[in-house]
Amino acid sequence: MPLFRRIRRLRDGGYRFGLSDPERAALRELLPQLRGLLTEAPADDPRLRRLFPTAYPQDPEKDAEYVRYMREELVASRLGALTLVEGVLGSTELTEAELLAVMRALNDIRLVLGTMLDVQEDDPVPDFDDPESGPLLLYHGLGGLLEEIVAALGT
Amino acid sequence: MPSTAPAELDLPAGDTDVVADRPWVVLVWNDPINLMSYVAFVFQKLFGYSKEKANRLMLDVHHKGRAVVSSGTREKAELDVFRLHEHGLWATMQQDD
Repeated sequence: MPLFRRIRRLRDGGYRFGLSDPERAALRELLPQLRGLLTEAPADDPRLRRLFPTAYPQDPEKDAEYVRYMREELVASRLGALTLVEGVLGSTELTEAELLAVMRALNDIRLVLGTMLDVQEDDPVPDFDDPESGPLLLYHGLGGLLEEIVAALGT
Repeated sequence: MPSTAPAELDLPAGDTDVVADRPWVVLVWNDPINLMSYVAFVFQKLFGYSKEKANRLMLDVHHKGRAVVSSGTREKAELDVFRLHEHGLWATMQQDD
């Protein structure tokens, strides 16, 4: 646990973005991976399932229409957030819009990771000493950072 | 945005009026990945709900498996679903019965 919060609202309305160098380096690796998935993976790639839910589960025809009109918009919106985040990854202070983009990008990565790991609600806390639990630790680490971001944005 | 009009042209006028009048509801479903605090925050941010209402809806999703988070015309519901999908929430829409 950090001794002080990494993400904190500042008096000028901005936000402290106090990630460590290894944390920034990890994000610098993860963000292009998400971009690669969004731009290169086939639309039905199971890793993307949670990023593009079915809008009309009871009506395949309307759903196909939703996908036709909205899928590209959803991809563009996600890529826009990614670009914004990549541009401020070295900053120690963010605007609200930048922090919201960080929040969305981290949540997207977490959704992909959680889907790949088949995370369930009642899963036990991973063993920190087991090297096998690396991806799961990353998943939980992202969750902790996301909690801090949401807490700061909510104040 | 898709239009609802073409699909309705094929149906008898009497039927379409009844169908068109029923509001659409937007549902958010429970999932094991999204954080509870995140889900409540997204409800606040997208719909302008109070912290209390957003938390209540989030807990409904968590405990009952789903909750209606907004309703209205098909266009409005579809935009709400889109914004929820932008934020990674598992949102669907259907016509109220």
